[in-house]
Amino acid sequence: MEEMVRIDLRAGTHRFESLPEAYRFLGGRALTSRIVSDEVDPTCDALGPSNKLVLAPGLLSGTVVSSSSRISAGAKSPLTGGIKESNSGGNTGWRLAQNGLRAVVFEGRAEQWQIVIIGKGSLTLEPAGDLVGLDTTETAARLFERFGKKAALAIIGQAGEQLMNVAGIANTDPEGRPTRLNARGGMGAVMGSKRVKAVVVLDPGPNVTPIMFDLPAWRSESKGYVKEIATSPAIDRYRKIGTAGTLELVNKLGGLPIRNFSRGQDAATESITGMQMAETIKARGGQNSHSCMTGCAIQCSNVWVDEGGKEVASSMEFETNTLLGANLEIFDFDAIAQFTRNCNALGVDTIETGGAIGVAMQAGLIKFGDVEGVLDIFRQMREGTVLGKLIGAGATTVGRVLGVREVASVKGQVMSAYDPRVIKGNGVTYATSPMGADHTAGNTIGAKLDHLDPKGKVELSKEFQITSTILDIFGFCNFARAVYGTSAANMRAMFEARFGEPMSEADVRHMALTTIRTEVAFNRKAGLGPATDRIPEWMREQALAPHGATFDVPDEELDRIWDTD
Amino acid sequence: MGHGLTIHLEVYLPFREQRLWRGDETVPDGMTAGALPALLGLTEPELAVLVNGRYVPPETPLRTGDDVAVLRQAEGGA
Ligand code: SF4
Repeated sequence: MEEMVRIDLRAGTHRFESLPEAYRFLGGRALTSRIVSDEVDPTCDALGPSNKLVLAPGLLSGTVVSSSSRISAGAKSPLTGGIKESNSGGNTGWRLAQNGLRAVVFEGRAEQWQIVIIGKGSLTLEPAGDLVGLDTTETAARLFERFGKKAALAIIGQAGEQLMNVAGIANTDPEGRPTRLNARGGMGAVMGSKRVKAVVVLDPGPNVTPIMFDLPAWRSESKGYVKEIATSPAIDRYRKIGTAGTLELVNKLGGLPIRNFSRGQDAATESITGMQMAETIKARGGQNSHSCMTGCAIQCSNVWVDEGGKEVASSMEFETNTLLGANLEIFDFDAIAQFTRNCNALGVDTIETGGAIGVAMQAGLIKFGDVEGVLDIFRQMREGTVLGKLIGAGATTVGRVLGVREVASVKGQVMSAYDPRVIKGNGVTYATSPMGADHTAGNTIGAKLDHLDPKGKVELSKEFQITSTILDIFGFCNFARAVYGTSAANMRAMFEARFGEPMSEADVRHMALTTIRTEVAFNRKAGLGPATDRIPEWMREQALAPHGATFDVPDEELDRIWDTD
Repeated sequence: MGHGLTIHLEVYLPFREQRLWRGDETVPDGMTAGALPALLGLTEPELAVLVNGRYVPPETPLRTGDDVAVLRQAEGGA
């Protein structure tokens, strides 16, 4: 039986429910957004008791088939004021699906901080006790000591406890590092607002998987998909150089955020390229290929070590290296690794935090390039000083408070490492995704075409947004996109093997479009009208060097993106 | 005509002895963006060839003074 569980934190009770028929073929983002849309008042206070936090693995999650057990966290976002789905790796999605759960819904607000312990058919709430106030690393260490290393954890750090908009939910990787975040949109703040410090998902025993309608078909179809992963050159790049190799490409294209999105290219980025990273990790004895979840064969993750070979941070990602590096004019991997470590421990989104610090630097609060100044900001966030809380509110709030107009955000969420004046398809994604300026909703950088030309970028972004949504619904990592062209049929056949129902190409597309339209409708009711589906005006005015580019995709085109199938 | 054209070239390739090569390079007249990697002996799959900071169709002829970068294609991160 397919189940979901609801936790009423105010009453301290829970209820297992069989999955309603209408939700049977919804997973990941489709399920979180549907539950939020069905049950949450769009005008509610995102940090109040009537918001709900939903965790949902994908439709095909729960086995060790490569990169198939992502976890979606959904709620009304305190950052954007609209609906949010934030996607993460780690082992939470796998363990939840193994335990037969398609969704966990957190309702209300507890009097005291709680931990939630989930097993097969069981759920226990316990006072969080002395875990409160601890960072994610220490929290994970104590929970593993008690529940064993095979459990998966979803936890918040001090940022989530302080209800910061930059707070994410940290999920543990196979070695137990709490470094895989549902990062974007303040999902950690929503978890904190419910007073849930941690979710522990127990190991149900060896080789437990969800019940398969046709196990032999599942095995053969998943083999086809895994074979694609094993032989794809694009996947091989992820394995060798992670996501960090995107930096040299975006820098050469002239669309890399430098100095709070004021330049698109800088020769100094040579010291933080993907190839530099991979070589340094190799020379120091770190790990260039690492799986963030059990079974992932793409292994885009990595482990950065210091000169003495001691682990500092996992994982060094392109977007982090840009927002906490180039955007702050800090071209030093050891510094960026320290920042990443701090972000993971606090449990915050590296993109929003880096964006917020960049705006603070532009205001002159600290100098661009000031490594010690950034480390001090992390200390202040931990301690909850006024400055720490200001950065924790995100880039848009920092801009308002400090009088900086040049904030690269949409719906209050800062853009990622692709300046929309140059990577215009991503500009369309930032503007039109119901998620706000979130590149993971439809990242067009992989398209080999002229990114500066505004023509055709609405269609390009739309197709990328649809594919990303499909992958999120199935539970596949977005990096499986590299083999989606050759594996889409395998994925649909895996669905049929799992559920015994046919799934056509048109069905999958319909599922994705329905999800996006449901989210847009929620946003409209929440007060986010078409005027919020816009790239900020200053990016249409201020030209970006070296191309002298502005964002010039017409608004009317943006407004029509979801009108047709 | 016939003496080739000079471009400014940058080649980014990890896991090779020379991971970044940069300098002026003379290539035959009529050389195209798409044919350049083979001329340079680059056999890595899915290379990105950017001319003056943009992707161009592979059949685009190179011109003297062009800024050409050859990199590994990339899809971004999360
Ligand atoms: S490809 Fe990377 S992010 Fe995706 S599941 Fe694998 S290790 Fe995690």
